[in-house]
Amino acid sequence: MISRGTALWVLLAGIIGEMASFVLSVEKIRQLASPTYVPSCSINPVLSCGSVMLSEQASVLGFPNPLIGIAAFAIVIVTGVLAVGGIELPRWYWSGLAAGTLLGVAFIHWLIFQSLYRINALCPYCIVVWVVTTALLVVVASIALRPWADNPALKALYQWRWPLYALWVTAIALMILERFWTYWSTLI
Amino acid sequence: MGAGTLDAVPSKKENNASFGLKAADRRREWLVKGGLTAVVIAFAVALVLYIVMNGQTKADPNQVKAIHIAADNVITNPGTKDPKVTVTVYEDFLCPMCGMFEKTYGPTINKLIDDGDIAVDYHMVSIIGRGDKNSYSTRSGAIAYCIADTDKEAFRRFHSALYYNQPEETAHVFPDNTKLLETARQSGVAVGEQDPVGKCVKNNIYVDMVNNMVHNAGIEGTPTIRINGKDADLSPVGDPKSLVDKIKAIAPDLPDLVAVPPVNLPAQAGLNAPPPGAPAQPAAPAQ
Repeated sequence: MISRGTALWVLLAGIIGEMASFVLSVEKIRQLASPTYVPSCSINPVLSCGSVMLSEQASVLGFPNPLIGIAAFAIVIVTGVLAVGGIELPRWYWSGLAAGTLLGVAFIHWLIFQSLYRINALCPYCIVVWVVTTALLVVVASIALRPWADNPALKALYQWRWPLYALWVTAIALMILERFWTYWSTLI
Repeated sequence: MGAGTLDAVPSKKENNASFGLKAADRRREWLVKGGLTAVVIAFAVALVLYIVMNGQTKADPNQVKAIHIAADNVITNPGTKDPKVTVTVYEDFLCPMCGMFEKTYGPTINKLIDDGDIAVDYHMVSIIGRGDKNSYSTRSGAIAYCIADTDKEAFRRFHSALYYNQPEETAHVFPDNTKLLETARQSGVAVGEQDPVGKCVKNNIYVDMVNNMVHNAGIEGTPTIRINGKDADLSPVGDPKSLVDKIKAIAPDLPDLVAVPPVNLPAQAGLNAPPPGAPAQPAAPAQ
């Protein structure tokens, strides 16, 4: 039922997300071990995961957020492997995964807002997670919502899902451009 | 792309009969979608670029932005880039006490900056403006931030110039923005409409921020002076040596600090000249 292309998408998203979460966790540990440590992703005043990782928002539940990512993306990888292997997963499994991904996407939008307008810095690995998780929602929701495929609104939404995703990425990119324009303009 | 997901089930029946046609349809459909998306994206990007490049984004109205002045060789705490002594100043360009403070301590502060002994964080606030965005306090403070964004040295000259030509607090007419920009020009920045300072002033980039800053910084009055974050009680008409003493008390290992005599004391009429570089003053070189 799941095409190989879709299955590979899920697997790839899981791997990328897992890697980003892992690197962020390692950077966080190094930062805690040595106060003078400069993370690999602190490139300039705007692209500075050091200041992002030290913020309160980076540990919403009392522990670093990337730990959630390590656990969650592991599930995505396993799902991707099973799907690539042609194993049929029950409907409820995909619904559960879609619900979890939706939760992740909601969390990510809160983090995007905090990063741009409260912390005032960007963390490149976090941006990778933003992009991957949202793409994953598009794919997983398409699978989970199949029983309602005849609904005209859903069908239209489905047919335009990648254009809509491209618009979402553009919107976030433009927000970043506008928010830090005073810095970007000095680079031109 | 996405084959076999939502629309896979209904489309499977007639798949074989018209395969060639379907493929062509699909290609056309994707071209339309891709084209439309590309147009919308290009339009959005162009619009935002146009806005940010011409409009300039306003400063965060609740920011408490410091104009950080320090010599390249300012003495820092070992192993860091933090200056050993930072004097934080909150001033209003119209407040008479700030004017006196500048005349009393300005020359000393400037020497300490130039010698690399201290860094100064200037905050130009509007307390006498009482929330009026068109008040002299707010306008002049906002222009000072615009200048500092372009040229910190020009800001220092502009800052001195405004205090040495300070209007009466109760005046009926205050220098307008054109006049203030002329002082900015004499301080050494270009102020044309296409120059950064001119654009910044025209677009009111710092007006809201300056107007709100007294509240956001939580200060009670001007001038408020802090040395390394601690309130420093300095009489605006006192002796500049008192500032040097306070700095020495905090950082005893700084090299010899020398107070510079104030410029406006009646007893030293011969020294009654603006500091070097302060424009818009009758030229009367004292030395």
